[in-house]
Amino acid sequence: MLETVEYRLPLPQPGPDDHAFWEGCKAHELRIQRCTACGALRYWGTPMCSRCNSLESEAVRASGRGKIWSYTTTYHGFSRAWKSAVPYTVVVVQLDEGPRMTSNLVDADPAAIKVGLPVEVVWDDVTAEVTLPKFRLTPSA
Amino acid sequence: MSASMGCAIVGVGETRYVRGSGVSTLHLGTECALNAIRDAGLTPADVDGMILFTYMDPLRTYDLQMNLGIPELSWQLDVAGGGNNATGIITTAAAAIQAGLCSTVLCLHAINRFSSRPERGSGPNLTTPFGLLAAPQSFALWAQRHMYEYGTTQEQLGAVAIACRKHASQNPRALMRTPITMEDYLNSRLVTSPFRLLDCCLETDGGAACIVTSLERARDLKQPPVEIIAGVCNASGPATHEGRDSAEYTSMGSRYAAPRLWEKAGLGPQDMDFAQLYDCFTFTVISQIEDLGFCAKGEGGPFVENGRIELGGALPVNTSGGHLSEGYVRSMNLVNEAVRQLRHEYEGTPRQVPGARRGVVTSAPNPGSAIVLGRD
Repeated sequence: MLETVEYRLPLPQPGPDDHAFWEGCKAHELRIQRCTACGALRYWGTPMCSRCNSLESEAVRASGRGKIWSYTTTYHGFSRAWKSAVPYTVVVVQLDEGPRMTSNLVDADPAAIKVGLPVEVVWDDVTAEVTLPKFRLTPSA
Repeated sequence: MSASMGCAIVGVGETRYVRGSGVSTLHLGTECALNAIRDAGLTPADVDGMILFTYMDPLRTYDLQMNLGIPELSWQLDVAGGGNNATGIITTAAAAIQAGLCSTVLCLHAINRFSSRPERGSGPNLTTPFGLLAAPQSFALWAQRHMYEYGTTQEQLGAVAIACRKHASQNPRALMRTPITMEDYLNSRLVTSPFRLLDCCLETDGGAACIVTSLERARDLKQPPVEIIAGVCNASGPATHEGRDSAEYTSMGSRYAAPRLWEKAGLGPQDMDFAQLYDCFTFTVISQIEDLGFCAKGEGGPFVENGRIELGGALPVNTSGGHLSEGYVRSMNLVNEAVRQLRHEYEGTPRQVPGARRGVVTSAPNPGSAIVLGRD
């Protein structure tokens, strides 16, 4: 996409429970949370560790690799903004570290997408301030 | 001898189900309330409790009281949230009556969902920027995983759509009454894979209401009482994103409601003559059939094949056409259908489940509510 084209899709509004995630994205680093009390890894939007109830956590770097847990290729524009983007694929990725996250699968033929296929993160710098983590099918070695 | 919550549903009513009501949500609410009150042979002044739930389209018990001319209410509760609350508010009404807080409760949901569809814009940070905006997509993700884990097929989803439409074809209240074939289903446009248009319920303008009172009082009223044998209001399990195990990802909250429901009822799935299951999408019928124990986890796809969930089959499901074909009034219309089946109101027509004595109604997706209803 040309950089002069304005990005019109909704952008994240980082808050206290996911700020470190979006900061990481800007640095092209996929971060997850680690509970500093028990070490459990989790995704974002969750201030408390559901295993040990600690409110203390730190951001750690994830590999950016995982597998498709589930997906849906959307053909219907569910909002005015997203009408221009269909079809697109929403994917739930199970990261190799364990947590699952929602993202988009890009550069994939819908017919080739299958649950369980390996994927890797790619970075989409949609504005000067915001980078979205997306995934592509891992090229077979 | 089954258990009982000591209460019964004694009146049911609704508005017409339309797409484009041209009236306010308050209008819909008052209309379905009055129809339910009259069906019970009561007047608004006989109601002393009220509970409703709203989803995006606000409606208040207080405004309904004023419009209906109910002089005094002893108890009222406004619940914010989706369709999972429907059988939950009926359960809560029965509990309030048992606790002595009130004696006759109006339970209601009304919405101009078709006419006031909100523009989807902002939303949760971790999903909206990726275009995960609407319910069909979330349920599609669950359905896709179910297909992967258990081999559930597109045609099995289609069997649910076909059964509901077949039932709706006998229901003058239903929005969609023209029967569909598997070919029609497979040719309907893809909305968000694996869902086609005919996998999705009908955004509807309408309201549905029922009246709950004590069994003792119910025996003196106009209609044959339909007993609330057991109820569960919003049971849930581990819901954190990464904490979901596989079974949870492919289940509804009914996975948590079911064991509580059957234990309280002293009954099991084998005792049900029909099931009215929250069908916002075809997939939710398959998953809830499993959750409720009508078959093992993963066998819901084969279960719905060969007419088993159609009238005349082993387990008639959504005998009014459900949300997929009658209208989407968030399970309150499913409750009304269950009550009418148990009153044998359709006697002499193919729509009646012969000799129906007990049935289950669910509200989904998560958390999950459900009730078991019965008649003597």
